[in-house]
Amino acid sequence: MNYLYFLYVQILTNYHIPKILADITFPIIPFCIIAAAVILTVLILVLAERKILALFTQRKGPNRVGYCGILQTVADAIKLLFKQNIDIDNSDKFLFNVAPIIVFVPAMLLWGFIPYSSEFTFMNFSVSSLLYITIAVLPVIGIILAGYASNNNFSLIGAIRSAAQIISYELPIMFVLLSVVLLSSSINIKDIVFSQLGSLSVLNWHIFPCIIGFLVMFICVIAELNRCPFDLPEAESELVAGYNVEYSGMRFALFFLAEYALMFIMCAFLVTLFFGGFLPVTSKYISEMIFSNSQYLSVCIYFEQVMWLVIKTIILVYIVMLIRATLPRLGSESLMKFSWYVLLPVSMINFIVIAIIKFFIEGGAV
Amino acid sequence: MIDMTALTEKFNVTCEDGKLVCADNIVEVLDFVKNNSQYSLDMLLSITAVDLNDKIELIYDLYSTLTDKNLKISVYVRDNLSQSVVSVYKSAYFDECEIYDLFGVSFEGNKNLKRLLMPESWSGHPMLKSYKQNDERLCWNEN
Amino acid sequence: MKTNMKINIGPQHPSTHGVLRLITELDGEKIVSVEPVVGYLHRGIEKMAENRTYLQYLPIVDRVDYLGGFFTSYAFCDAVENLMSLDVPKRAKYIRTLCMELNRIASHLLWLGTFMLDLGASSPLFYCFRDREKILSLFEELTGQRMMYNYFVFGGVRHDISSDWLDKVYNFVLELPKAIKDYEKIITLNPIFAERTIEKGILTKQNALQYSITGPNLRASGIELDFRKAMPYSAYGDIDFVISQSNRCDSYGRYLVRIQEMKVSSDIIKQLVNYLKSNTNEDYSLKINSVNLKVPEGEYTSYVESSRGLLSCYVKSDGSGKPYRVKWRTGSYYAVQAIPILVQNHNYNDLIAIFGSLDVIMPEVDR
Repeated sequence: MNYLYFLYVQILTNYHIPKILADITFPIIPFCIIAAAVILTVLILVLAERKILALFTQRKGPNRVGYCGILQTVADAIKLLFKQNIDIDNSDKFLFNVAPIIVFVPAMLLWGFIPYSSEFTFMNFSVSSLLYITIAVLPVIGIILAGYASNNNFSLIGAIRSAAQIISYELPIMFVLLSVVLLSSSINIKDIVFSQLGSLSVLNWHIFPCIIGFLVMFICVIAELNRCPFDLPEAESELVAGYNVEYSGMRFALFFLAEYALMFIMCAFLVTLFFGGFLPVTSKYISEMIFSNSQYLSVCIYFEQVMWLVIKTIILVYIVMLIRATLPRLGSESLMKFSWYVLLPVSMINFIVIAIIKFFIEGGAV
Repeated sequence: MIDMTALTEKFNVTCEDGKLVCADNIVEVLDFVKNNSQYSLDMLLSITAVDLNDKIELIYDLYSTLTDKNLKISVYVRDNLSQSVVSVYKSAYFDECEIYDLFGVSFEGNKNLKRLLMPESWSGHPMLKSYKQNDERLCWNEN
Repeated sequence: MKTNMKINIGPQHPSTHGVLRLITELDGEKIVSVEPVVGYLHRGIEKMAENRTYLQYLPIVDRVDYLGGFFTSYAFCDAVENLMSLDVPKRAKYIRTLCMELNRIASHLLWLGTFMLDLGASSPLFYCFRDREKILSLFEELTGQRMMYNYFVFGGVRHDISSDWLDKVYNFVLELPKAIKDYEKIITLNPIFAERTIEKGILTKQNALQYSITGPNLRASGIELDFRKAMPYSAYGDIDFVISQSNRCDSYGRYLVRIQEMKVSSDIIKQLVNYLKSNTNEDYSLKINSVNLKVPEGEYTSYVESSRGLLSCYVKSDGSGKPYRVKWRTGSYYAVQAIPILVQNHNYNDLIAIFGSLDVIMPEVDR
């Protein structure tokens, strides 16, 4: 981040622009980067999901727009932009308009928390992991508002289900996060990543002591994302489309964007917590081996770190998609039971076990 | 086929074309053949209504899952009123509603008789032979 | 004051399999009451019969149940043939039975796919449609149509089948059990599927009989009633097969019965193909002229075990060229009536799962 900042100031001062102006305008840059990254990622993810689902079901998937259909989602996005925003009679107009924004803004905000490389975190707070989890819950408020404001029974049921789901699945996430925090002795996301750096390379990752915690958190994250098999809030066979049944055009596109942006960033968060984030799988950076004498080595390492994060995230995203292609939807009752009777106790036990391990390994330094 | 002579004697009904012809005692007869272990006709397959111009014939098609035998009982309705058999066979509800809808036969004892297939506001009973063929409400009618 | 939520599912809804309307009252997620409303697909097929000659009516018959055109077609042909006291040639009977069994598999495959879609799993739909596509291609090759076949005529079938086509059918039924095994791998032992179907939508024996449920739904309630065995029609008297049956009474049982039935059907088809291959010189039709067909006075009810239960066709003739009255009795019609008792004390999302397990299609209900 500092690197980017100095680069920016340097460029501006070359053109004789005062430093104070550079300081003020600098925050726009990360915002633009995130916005561009979100939109690009979503476009790719949607296409990838359609293609992957098509592969699973022995179809071709989108193959008309562009080469092998790579421009399909772009075309869809343009279509959505030009579509009419339908206003519903008897709906709460203000909330109806605001709800998509409430869903979308936190989804985008979360992108600022993830350390993409050792120098590249937009928002680095000392309590960033807690803040991340807190903000990750905010979209559900938008979902509830959307369900309530559209004055439709289907969307209301979807919203209620979403609220119930988030309440029951948020607790195990916190317990797992606690055990990760315990392992790394920090609640700063970046420090959590660095605590996974060690002589054992891959074996230092938190996934190994905390595999059960990871599984619990992965399930909870899928539930929070409202994805199959936890897609009850938007169960298309029962609720038609759930909370967004009355939305169209750009407002619907915002929901859609938020859903996929959240999916990617939640997977990135899991990678950061359990799979060493931007740390490489190999014991040394590949760029260190190739460009060891280059003056741009540090830049190369930054990019390589981003690459590692993206690769690991893509693998997790792929698993999420694979689950969608395989499993049917859970029943609403067992959804709750599964969280309260299985996930919550397991995550608590996991926390206790991690604490005991930590206590004995570090000789009571907890 | 079930031997019908015992039934004709017991209920004082007639037999015609392999069908038992009942009158007002249809509920009684059905109740008997359903619960009597000799017949145990536990399933009412369907109720068919046929418009015979001066009267409407209702054919109750019964079937026994135990003996694999079936029995047809027919009832002639003359004043558009018959007895409901929903109390004996629950499946008769839709059948009776349909017959009420398409033939205009009311069933005494069926509380929720309503038009099943045609719109609620429809007047007339389309399956009757006397029903006007070129109804102006039909979409293909150009007049 | 607490009021229950009234929710109107359908007639346009992705999983009511057509245009069924369910007026549902919900207390939270719990179902308080359900009232099925039918009639949105009423085409007056029974009334149409009275204005058309027998031959004109024959193509319409396929539309009674568009997923099982051969069953309805057979039921009508059978009734008319019996009224005319025609004895259909043996080969025609076998061809008809073969078509009906293939149709049963196609129909069950479509049911399996849409049922899984109702439960939220999208992949099985495509697998099932892939295999159903093979059957539809076979039908297309045989009859020129994929859904409305119009292949059975009074006194036989429209034209003979080729041995080439029989080979294709045989290859298909050899491959089918493997495909079914694949479905079972991702469905039968899936814990989520089990949780959504086991003990859900219990249809007791008494209720099944009370509501006149037939077909796989009845056999899943522990009653071994299959009209192919109970009143053997067409070539079923010569065929050796078992009745698939389950005592579970729930959605899972209905699923098991249908899966089993597909396997049984493929066995039946093997026997039929073997006969048809070894007896190629027989007549496939009586080749009667049915343009101005006059059917003798009388009435007859034909019973056919369709993929959705008992299909019976009542035909009354007054001796003229047009049927006096045609009545269709279909399996879905009675299954719809049973929905309210099946979904009692269940959650809203079980409503769709239970309804899906009954294999109701609306053209059959509304006719």
